[in-house]
Amino acid sequence: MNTDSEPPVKIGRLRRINRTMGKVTNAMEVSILVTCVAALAVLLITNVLARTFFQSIYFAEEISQFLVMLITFTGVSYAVRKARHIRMGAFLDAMPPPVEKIFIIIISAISALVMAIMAWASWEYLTNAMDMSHKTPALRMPKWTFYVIIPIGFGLACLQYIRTILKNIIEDDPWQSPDQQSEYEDEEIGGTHI
Amino acid sequence: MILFGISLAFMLLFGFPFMVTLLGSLILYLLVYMPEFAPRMMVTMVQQVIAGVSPPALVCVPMFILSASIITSGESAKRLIHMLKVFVGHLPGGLPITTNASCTLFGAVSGSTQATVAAIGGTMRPMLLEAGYKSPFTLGLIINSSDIAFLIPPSIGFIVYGVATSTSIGMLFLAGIFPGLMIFVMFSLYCYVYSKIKKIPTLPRADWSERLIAMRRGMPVMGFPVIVVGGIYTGILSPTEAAAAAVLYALFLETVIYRSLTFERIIDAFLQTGVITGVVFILVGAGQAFSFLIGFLQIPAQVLPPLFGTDPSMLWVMTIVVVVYFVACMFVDPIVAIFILSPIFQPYVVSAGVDPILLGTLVVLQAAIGSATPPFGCDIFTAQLIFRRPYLEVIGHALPFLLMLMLATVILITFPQIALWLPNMAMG
Repeated sequence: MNTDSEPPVKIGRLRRINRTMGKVTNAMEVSILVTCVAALAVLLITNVLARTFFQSIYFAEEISQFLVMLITFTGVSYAVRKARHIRMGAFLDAMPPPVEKIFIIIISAISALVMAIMAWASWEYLTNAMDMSHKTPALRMPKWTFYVIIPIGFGLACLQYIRTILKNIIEDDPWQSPDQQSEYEDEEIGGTHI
Repeated sequence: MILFGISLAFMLLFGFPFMVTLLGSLILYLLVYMPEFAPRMMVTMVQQVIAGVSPPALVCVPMFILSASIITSGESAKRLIHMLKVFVGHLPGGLPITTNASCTLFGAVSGSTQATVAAIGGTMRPMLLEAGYKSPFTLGLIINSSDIAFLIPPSIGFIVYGVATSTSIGMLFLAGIFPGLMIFVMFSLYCYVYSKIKKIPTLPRADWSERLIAMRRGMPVMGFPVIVVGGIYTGILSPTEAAAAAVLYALFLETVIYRSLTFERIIDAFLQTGVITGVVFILVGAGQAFSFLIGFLQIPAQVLPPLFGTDPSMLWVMTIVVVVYFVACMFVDPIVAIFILSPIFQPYVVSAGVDPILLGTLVVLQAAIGSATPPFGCDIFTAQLIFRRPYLEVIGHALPFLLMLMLATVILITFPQIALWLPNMAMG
């Protein structure tokens, strides 16, 4: 969970903006992911035990869906930051670094645009849902609360792609994502990382 | 249509994330071909993405990933390998067979190919190299054995197929077991013959006291298949409940029995689970939006009849399905391929008389083969990432395994009972 791995030289304005954006979003994303996965585990385990000895928790399914939404859309943005999204990297990896850098910038720009459009569309969807004021069946929560995370997640993902572009402008080497250098050098891969 | 295809192929080849490839192509299509409806259709897309990640059956996926994260950061893999090694290590090909068996069993524990490559491959590869096996052989073995994990429950491939086609996930899990074991036996025979021909020295035979100790240390890991397969077979647990039970057991095993987990490692397991869930689920959501548009444009009705011809035989239908999935999974992630292709093919193929459970097994088997097959099988890149070996070395020994897996497909089509026997027993 290293927030910023860049060496503390040449602190320009771009770099400072990039770093502040990184720190704030990182803290948010990590805490949402950890809390929600833990909550989901506790909820489902409790539900199995409750069903075995008493009866099922009637709102378990609803809450678990809510948590899955939170995890998914927070994970989308966090995975952009860590360059964990699945892609076919064979050609990209084979390119000489300067060409690779240009391609990463183009890819990030288009990705940022796509994420921005998705953020806008999901914002529209959210406001529609707010107008409809549907309630969830078990807990009678407003249905739109399930969708709040979606524009946030896509929006943050867009931000991470913009940060990737900034990073590639600031640094000399190509960077896959704001936290991930091209050669997978500082990602610890082994037993703990899948 | 052509623009749509070109943008897809272009973004795929130049290393765009799959998520952006799918969503971006959709947006481009909407903007070019129906500009006046584009904003409203994009909101519908969001609705489809939500529908994609909402099915209650998918809740088990993060839980299986979590149990895998917990045990890969703990002791289970090492103990499992050691237990198998003292039993078969002295045979010709003993170490590769150990690798193979560990991957099959670990598949039953983790449900994830990547986790299996990392956990088993990371430990076994140095041992195999030291014993005198060539590097391409070890890599081919690890990648292909790990793909058996796709067939052994709990498998994310089966869960996604089950959700996409409304097929019983529990029955699919059971159907994967015997085909998975069959491939395990084929691979083991190959390893035996290979090391006989290459005259690779065998390990000394372990004595029984050593075996008993290794068994006592490793046996608790076998609780996972008992919980997941046993729970689903007897109908005591639904897949989601089995997943929750697996998490509970993983926590119990690694903290209380093996005492290998620190607080930080558990938090890290939660975080990793969150990331992987996000990566997988956004693909499922984007895949749902994608197949919605494909259905909306009535593409299946245009593509399927010429593909299958009039009044196709069952064998022909299955052959086409196998080839389509195999080729698709050579290029894109199996989860995407399964999620997009299955709603297109499944109704047609099932109406031709193919058993939906058998179809699911064949599809997931092809996904497993495709993802280990050059040029773009995604497991090749996983292995490249984990072992940091050049591409050509990773694929150097892929052919023998590919041939065996194709043979397995032919056998499965010829004798569907290999897959269907166990689910039929469970249904009584």
